[in-house]
Amino acid sequence: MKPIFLVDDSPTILMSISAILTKAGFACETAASAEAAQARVTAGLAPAMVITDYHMPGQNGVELIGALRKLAATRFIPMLVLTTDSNQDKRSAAKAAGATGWLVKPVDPAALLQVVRQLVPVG
Amino acid sequence: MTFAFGPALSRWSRRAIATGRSLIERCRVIAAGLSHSQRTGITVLVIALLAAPADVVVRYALPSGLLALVPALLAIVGSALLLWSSRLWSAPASGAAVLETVAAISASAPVFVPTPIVVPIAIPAADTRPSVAVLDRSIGELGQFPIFTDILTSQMASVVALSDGAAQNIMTGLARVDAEVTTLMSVIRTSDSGVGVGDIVRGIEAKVTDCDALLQHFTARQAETSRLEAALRVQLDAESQAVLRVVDGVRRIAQQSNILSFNIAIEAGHLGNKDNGFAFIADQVRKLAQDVDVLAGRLSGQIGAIMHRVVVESQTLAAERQHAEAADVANLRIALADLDGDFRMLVDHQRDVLAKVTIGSEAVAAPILAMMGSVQFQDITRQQIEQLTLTVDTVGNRIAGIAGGLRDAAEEPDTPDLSQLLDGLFKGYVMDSQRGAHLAAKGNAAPEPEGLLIELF
Repeated sequence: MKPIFLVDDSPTILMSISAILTKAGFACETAASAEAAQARVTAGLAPAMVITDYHMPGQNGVELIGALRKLAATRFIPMLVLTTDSNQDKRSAAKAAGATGWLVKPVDPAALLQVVRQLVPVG
Repeated sequence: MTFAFGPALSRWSRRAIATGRSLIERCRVIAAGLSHSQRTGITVLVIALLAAPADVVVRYALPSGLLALVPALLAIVGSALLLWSSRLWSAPASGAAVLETVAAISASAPVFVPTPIVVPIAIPAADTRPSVAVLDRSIGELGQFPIFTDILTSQMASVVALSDGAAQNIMTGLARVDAEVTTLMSVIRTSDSGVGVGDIVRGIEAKVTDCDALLQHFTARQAETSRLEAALRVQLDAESQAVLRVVDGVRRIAQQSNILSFNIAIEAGHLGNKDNGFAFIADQVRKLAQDVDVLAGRLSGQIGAIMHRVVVESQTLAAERQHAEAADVANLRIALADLDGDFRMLVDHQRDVLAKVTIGSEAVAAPILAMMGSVQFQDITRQQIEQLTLTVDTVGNRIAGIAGGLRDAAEEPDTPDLSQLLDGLFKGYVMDSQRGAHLAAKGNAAPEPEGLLIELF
């Protein structure tokens, strides 16, 4: 089973979302920055889905999505932005960069699982 | 006289300044615990005390030619003292207040503080005052400070509310988990007590022991019966063979006797005398042979009857054995049926326990999942607090700018004021709650949420 790749500079969020998805039967991989995430994919990680924060030190989540869309392993997979930011302009930018959806923190675990199962029907 | 009083006046002035300086240094220590009005009053008193002896000297000791220089000298001394006192008290308005107070005292006590001494002192203090424009702007900005505190209060209230909500969710979830675990433990405990698994297992063990005893009894009886039947068959067979051999011997004797009687009869016929003894003997032998044959026949019949009876008894014995075995098998079947029932009960019980444990586990999983989600509040409050820190820094810098403007009586005209800075902070907000708290603090309505919480493009 291909893992779901979580990218967030908050260890708490990584633990929370990873625990929710793992409990539901998904495998998870994590990275603490957009740069680290790109390095992992370049090194061979082929995730089934990417869930990234927006506001991170260095590149933001939308820039990460734009970069991952250029890599073969992540060109066609679903990518969600999970952020506290609800700004409409940033949503539009994310959509333009290739994001699949926008989730505002705190996200309800059941709703998150429903979205993930809809996009990755395994687990 | 003129030249004698000049150096004396100079020395006196220096001593007066030194005395005033020493007095002010002492007052510096005392001033820390005084209010603004108390500090002003003390400053005026010091100046009056210094001005009184100077006035006496001026009026009664100096020649009229030097009289014109005295106001200028006293003005210099007084100005220096006032500047000192203004710096000493570190209160921007204290210099002006002192001047006003000194003027009032001068008006009421012209003997000790002549008017010409006071007026020049106010001139340098007026030069350090902020301009009206700077004061207006500072007052305006300081008037906006409550908005900043309201924003801080609202934002902090939002953080606290979020933290409280998350903490309550976690505590509620923990309570639910605790209740479910308690129920599960109760189910598990009762499954091993009372009419639970323990009794069922003990009943099964007793029935298995009974079944084992029945099987052992059945096996032992079957083995004994088989051994007896085999022995009986061997014995009967041997005895029957022995009797039959005797009967066969008797039959052979009878046949030989019969043949002998025929031979005697033939020999008697050769003799031609039907009345001779051979004929009689032959007749007797033939009768004997017939009797023996009859006896042999009877013996054979009796042996046959015995054999038949043995067969019948053997069959009866076998039937009884089969009946007993059937009874044992029936008992064993009943015991096995009971055992099967106990096993089914045990399986049902375990299935029931498993079902309850499964339901309980699912009930436990739900609050645990919710608690995992509630932990996200930490990241949200972290970002809110970071934003508040930025707000405090921004406002702190602006307050320092205002203070600098008041101190230096000048500020860059295009410097953003507090309201503009707060509006700039608004653009940095990412959460609807931040925007709502900010607008509410400024007296505006909360904005509509920007988009859905979950949106798939």
